[in-house]
Amino acid sequence: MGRGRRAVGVLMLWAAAIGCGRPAPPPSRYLQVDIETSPTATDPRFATDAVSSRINELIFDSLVKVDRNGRFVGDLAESIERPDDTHIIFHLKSGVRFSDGRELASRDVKFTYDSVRDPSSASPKRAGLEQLKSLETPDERTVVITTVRPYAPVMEMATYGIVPAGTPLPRKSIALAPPGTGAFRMTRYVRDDSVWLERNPYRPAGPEMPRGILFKIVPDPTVRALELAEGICDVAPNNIEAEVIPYLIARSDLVVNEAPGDTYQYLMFNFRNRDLSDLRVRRAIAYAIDRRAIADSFLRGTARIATGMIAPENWAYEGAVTTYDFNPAKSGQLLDEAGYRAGDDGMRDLKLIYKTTPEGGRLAEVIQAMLRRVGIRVEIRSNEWATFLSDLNSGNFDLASMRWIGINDPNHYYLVFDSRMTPPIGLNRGRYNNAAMDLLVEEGMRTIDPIRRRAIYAKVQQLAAEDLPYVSLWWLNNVTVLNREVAGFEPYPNGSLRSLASVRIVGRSGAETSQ
Amino acid sequence: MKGMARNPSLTVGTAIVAMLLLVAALGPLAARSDPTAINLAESLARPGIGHPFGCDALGRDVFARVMYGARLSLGVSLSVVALSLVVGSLVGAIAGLAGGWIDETIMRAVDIVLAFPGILLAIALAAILGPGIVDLIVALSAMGWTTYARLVRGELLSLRERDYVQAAHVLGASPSRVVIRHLLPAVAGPMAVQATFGVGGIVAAEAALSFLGLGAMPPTPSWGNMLDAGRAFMLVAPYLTMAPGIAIGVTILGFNLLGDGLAQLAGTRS
Repeated sequence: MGRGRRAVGVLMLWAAAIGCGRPAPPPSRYLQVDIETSPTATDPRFATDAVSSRINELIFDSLVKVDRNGRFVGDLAESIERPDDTHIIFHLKSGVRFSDGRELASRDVKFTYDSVRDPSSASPKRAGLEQLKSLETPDERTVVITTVRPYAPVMEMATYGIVPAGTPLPRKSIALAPPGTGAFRMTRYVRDDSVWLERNPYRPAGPEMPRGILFKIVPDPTVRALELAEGICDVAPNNIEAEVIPYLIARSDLVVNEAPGDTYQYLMFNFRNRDLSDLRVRRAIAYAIDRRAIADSFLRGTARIATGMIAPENWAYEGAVTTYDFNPAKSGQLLDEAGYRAGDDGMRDLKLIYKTTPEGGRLAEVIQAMLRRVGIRVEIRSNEWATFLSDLNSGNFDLASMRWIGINDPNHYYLVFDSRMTPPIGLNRGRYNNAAMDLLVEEGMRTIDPIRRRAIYAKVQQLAAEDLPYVSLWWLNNVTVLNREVAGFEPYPNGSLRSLASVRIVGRSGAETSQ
Repeated sequence: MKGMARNPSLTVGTAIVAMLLLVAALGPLAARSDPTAINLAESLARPGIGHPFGCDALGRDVFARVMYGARLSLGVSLSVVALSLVVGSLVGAIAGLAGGWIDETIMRAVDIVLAFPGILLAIALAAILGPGIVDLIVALSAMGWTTYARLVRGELLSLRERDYVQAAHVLGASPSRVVIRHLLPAVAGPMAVQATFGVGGIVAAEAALSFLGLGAMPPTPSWGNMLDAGRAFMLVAPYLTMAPGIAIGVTILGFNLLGDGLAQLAGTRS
């Protein structure tokens, strides 16, 4: 036992040495949160990736926000009125200040939306405002949004982080975030190293709450685990391997917060591939994947088997859909019917290229092995994110595994399955084309009445499960590893870290070493 | 016994290399289990009777993967060295024998290739060619041939002036006879030493490229991609990285010792 522990100690030292030495502890009462990659944008008008959004939510408020139950609630808006199907009126709270002391007014909201909509901004968030006809400010405290046509997911438009009027567009190199009305302001940003947030002086905070947050970029999973074990890192959101967590818990002052999440993992088919445009082949692939075995052993039970893109917590969720339990015999039979008979070596004349990121490589290998059992040869290509995404958008793949994080409104089905929503304007990367689906998702977008809308999306989910443009794999749980001194952390299904603004640091300061 | 005492590097190096070749040839028999067969129930299983080196995250037998990895690693390294040796010697021989502007041109080209850090050149080439074993061999050979070209040219330049070579010319031997009978045998010794060291270097380079995802494609096991896959589990399953790590270390050590031994042998003989 003693020898084993010493060996581990040596290993830890070695791992720490390759991770560029012992890091300096953050100032006292700062929380250190380890993340895998740098945010790509610090200005909320440009942030689209998960890391940027998580950090932005702590700095910027929006007209409405999504609460822990996935519902839209007022954030900067004190009250909301919907006089008819195309208008929505937001009454702003009074006395809200940006971190530079300016008071928030309706002109800041107008400025933010105008600068995103301005074609010269080239903001990736512009597309989300396509249905926005006008944004008017009848007085200091009122914002009126008018949509082109009745547009059900209008609230999604009201979740953009608000910057002060006159904030210039960010230049090519990423600089500090502009001031926001949120709990924190950004004081330092070092690319691929760290992002420093400090309390917004105009927002009251309890004495036990953190004075600031240091987001440290730590790409290596072992170094993140060691920083947690040594008490250097206080919070690791969704980035510690499931297998490593029990080891950490047994040895240090850590707690795990695990809660159901809405991160949806799926396998996407490319309909330009003739083999895959055959429904029998898609079903055969769905039957060949043992999702239960993967979720139980490989993911250590930190996922729920998914029936569709929308998680059960969402109001639009429909669970009564076709499911595909692991059934290799049926899979083989479907492939035979489709004309892909197994040869003497058990393999069929069906070869597919599966694209993924290096992080997704392990899952790809599992799926490759499972498809090999039914005679499908799969070649894995793992590329870094930018290449991967450009291959997906140009349709250069047969299969791809991806995730959707934080889907809230079921209108997402329109963006990913409507036949007109192919890249670059939409996210239908598999080039799925089904007239029945088009009708449904377009109707869902125009229907305001929640009961009728729910019925439409129930049909959408049934059709998607029947016709299989995606194979649904699972919804990942949100697994956050925290130092025991961090109290009051509340998980969000979409992985938001908003609650870091209100957690308390109990006991000693966040910089203690607890060996 | 006497030989061993005088040249321990040669003995130990030969033993290690012989063992490696044996493993590469017979390892798949010894391993029994399929190195690509996943068994999720045995994910990260500890080393034990069924699995002497444990199982990886997908429940694949690490022992079988290391054994098959030896085949890949040695196969790639020997191919790369053979290819580099042939190309390098030819180019070097042409330069050394032709002399003049041909020599100048060839050697400046060699200098240009040498100006790039070797591994970076290989990474760039592997990235351009795409992943795969053949592309890997080409990429690594592109960085390896220059050493042999310089060596052969240098040797030839000095040998050409030796009395016995001049004598052969005077006695009317044809240029090809001079090259085959007199020059090649003299160059063979230093080349063998260089090639042996070369194998060790290529083993490391191959592992590096596979580690970066530019070498063998999954599910093919290679020591480099095993190291990469095991990295995330260093705290809970160190055997995933230790097994391929030790394999890489022992292989490089073996070839370097053999190279040292051969160099000593060549030194004492001349």
